Amino acid sequence: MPQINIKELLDASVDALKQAALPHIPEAAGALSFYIIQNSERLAGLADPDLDPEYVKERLALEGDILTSQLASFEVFGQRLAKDAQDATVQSIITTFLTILTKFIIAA
Amino acid sequence: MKKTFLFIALIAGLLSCNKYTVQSKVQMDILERAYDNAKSIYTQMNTGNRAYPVYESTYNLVALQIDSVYNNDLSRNSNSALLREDKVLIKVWSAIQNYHRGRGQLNAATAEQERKTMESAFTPRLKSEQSIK
Repeated sequence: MPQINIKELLDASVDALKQAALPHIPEAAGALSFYIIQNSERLAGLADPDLDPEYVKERLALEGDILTSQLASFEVFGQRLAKDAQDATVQSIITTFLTILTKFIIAA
Repeated sequence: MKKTFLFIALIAGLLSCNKYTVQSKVQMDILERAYDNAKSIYTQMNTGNRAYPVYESTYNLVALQIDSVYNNDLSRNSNSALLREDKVLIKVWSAIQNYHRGRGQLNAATAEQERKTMESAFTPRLKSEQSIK
């Protein structure tokens, strides 16, 4: 089995995470640092010569899934902020609409 | 009557747009229990016994708990990002269990690497749940 280029894999995952982590979301900033450390330790661990090469191959195949999950968490952080904004907007729209409707009902 | 119906339909429409994430204490509890159970496997393996049969019931319990999280997310109108995390968690846990089952016994290095893999699969889902307020 060819030697794993840990640095190359890690750099690629860090790049992907940095692109998705919005710096103004506190959860994202904290998670980004955490994921980078976690990915670094996990990928470095795969270079352990005591591991079976077939096992290493299997676990490398899961790296894309793990990155997918990490990126999805940034999506959740962002959507939570969007939800707060949307809640306020929806409330405001409903209030405005109800005011108009009340006038309509009174006039009818 | 027609106008009242239209009004109700409009409000329902506006509310149905609000489908991002919904806080759930039950989900958080199940997730935390699953994570604690998964961690307990590796704590116990540190004592030296790494034979699969010792851990089979805990593996199965964690699998049931994370399946339950996924099913709850499907029914609680959760967003697709949470569902994606659930699917990854289920896939990774299944890979971890299948490997151990197939080998029967893990060496210390593999057990430690499996712990790191488990942590990496649980962390995003836990962080997402914690962020939902």
